[in-house]
Amino acid sequence: MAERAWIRGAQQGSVADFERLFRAHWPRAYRAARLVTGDAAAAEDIAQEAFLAAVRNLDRFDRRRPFAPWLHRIVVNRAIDWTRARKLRAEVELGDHVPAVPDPELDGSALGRIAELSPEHRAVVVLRYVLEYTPGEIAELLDLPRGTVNSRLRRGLDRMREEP
Amino acid sequence: MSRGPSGPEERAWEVVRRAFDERAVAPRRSRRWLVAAAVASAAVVVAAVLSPPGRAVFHRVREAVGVEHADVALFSLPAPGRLLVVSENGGGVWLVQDNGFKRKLGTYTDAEWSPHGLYVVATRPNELVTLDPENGERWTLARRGASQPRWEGTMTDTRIAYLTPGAVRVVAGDGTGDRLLARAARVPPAWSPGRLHTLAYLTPGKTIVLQQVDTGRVLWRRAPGNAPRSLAWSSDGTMLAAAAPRRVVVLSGTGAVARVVSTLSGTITGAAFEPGTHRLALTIRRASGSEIKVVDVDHPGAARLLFAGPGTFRDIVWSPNGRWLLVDWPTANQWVFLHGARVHAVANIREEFHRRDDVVPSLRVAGRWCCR
Repeated sequence: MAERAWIRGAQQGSVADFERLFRAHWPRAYRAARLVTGDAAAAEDIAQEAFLAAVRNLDRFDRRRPFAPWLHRIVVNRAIDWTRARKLRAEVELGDHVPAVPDPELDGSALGRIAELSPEHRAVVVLRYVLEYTPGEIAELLDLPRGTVNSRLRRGLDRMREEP
Repeated sequence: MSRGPSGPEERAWEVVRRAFDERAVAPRRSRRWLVAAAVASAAVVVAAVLSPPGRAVFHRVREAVGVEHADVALFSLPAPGRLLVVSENGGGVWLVQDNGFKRKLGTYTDAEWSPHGLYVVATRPNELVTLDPENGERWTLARRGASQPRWEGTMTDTRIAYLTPGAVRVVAGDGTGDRLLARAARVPPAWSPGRLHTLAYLTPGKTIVLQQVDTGRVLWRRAPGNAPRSLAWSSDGTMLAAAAPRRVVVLSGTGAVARVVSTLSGTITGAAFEPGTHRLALTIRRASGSEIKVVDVDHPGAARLLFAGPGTFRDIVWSPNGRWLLVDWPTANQWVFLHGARVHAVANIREEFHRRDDVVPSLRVAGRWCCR
C-alpha cells in the first residue's frame, strides 16, 4: 500500500516519495543487473537507465500494478542484451569499467558459479532465486513459454552444482 | 550496499533525481529556467559522473558551468604547433599559432593542413582552394559542393581528396589530374598514414572502402554494421576507427574488426587516436552531460574517464606531440586542454572568434592541430 502512495506522490511531483520508491527498489535492481552482467559498472548503468525509464513513464504508470516487476523486466532484459553483445563482439563498454576482482556478493555463495551460465540462464536463475519470482511470473516478465523457463532453471542449477 | 557519496546507489540517485526534477517542472519551464537549472546542476552532475574512484581526472567545476580559474583569453597553445579553426556557417577559417597569435585566413567553409603543414587546402561554396598561409591562394578549382578536403603525401608528391554531392574526388597537390574516385556517403574520407595515396571512404551503401587512388586498386571493403559518421586512423596506419552514434568499430590495417567499443546510454560524437599510440579518445553525450573517455584498443576492458561536465562537448583534437587533448566545450564557452592530471582551460572562446554579424560561432578543430 505504501508503494502506491509513493507512486501517487511521485506522479504529483513529490521528490521525497520518488526517493522512497528509488531506495526501496535500487538494491535488488542493481544486484540483479550485476549478477546477470558480472560487471559492476554495467550494472550501475543498467539499473540507472531503468529508473530513468521509470521517470519518463511515471505519468502513464498504473498505480494498481506493482512497480517491481515492471522495473525488473527492463533491468533483466537490458542486462541480457548487454551480456550477449559483449560476448559476441569482444567489446569494450563505455560504462566505467571496473577491473575484474573477486565479487564479494558472489564469493562463497551458491551463486558464485553463475558467471559460467549463458546470459539467458543467468537471468532466470536471478529472477527465481534472487528476486524470488515464480516461474509463471518469470515467463511473463521475459515473454517466454513457462516450459522454457523451467528448463532453463533446471539446466542452470545443474550447471552450478557441477564440480568445477 | 554502499550509501557513501561514491557508491553506485548515490551516483544513480543524483542522476535520477535530476531527471525527476526536470520532469516535475516540465510544464512551466522556460529557456531561462533551463539555463538556470543547468547551471545549478553542474556540480551535482559532474560529481555523479566522475565519482568512480581512481577513474576521473578532474579539476574543480564551479557552479557556473566550466573549469574554474580558466585563462581569460587564448594567450598560447600548451604544445607546439598551429591550429586551424573553422567557424561554421559563414564564420570563416582562423589560424592560431602556439604563441597565441591568430589571424583570419578568409571566408572559407572548411580547411585542413597539407601533410607537412606548409599549406592549407580550403573550400568555398563550389570551389576547392589551396593557399600558403603567408602569401595567399595558390590555385583554385571550381567544383560544385566541394567539401571536407583532406591532403596527404610526401614532400614532393601529394593528393587531396574531397567530397562533392554523392561522390569522393581526388586531385594532385598542384591542382592537376582532378577526377572522380567513387560514389561516396557524406562522411569525411581519411588517408591511410601507412600507405601512400591510399584512402578510406564510406560508400552510399555504408561500406568502408580502402583504395589506392592512383591505381584504383581496392585493398579491402568492410561493412561495419551501422553507419559511421567519422573515420579516424591511428598515426601508424594500423587501425581505423569508424565511429557511429552508438559504437565505434576499430578495423585493423587489413580491414578485420579489431575491437568494438559501444555505449548503452550515450551518443558517441567524436573519436581521435592519440598520436603514436592506439589509445582512442571518445566524446560521449549523455542525458546528464558529456564525457571524454579513452580506450586502449590494444588492452581492451578499461575505458578511462578523462573529463566530464554538463552540456555538450564538440570537437576534440590531440596536439601534434600527443601530450594534450583539446576539448571544445561550447556550453561553458571554454576550450579545455587535458594532459594526464592537468587541466588547463581558456574562457571566452566565442569572443576569440567573434563574428561581425554577432552570430554565436560554431567551431570545428578536429584533425586541424598540426606540425611541431
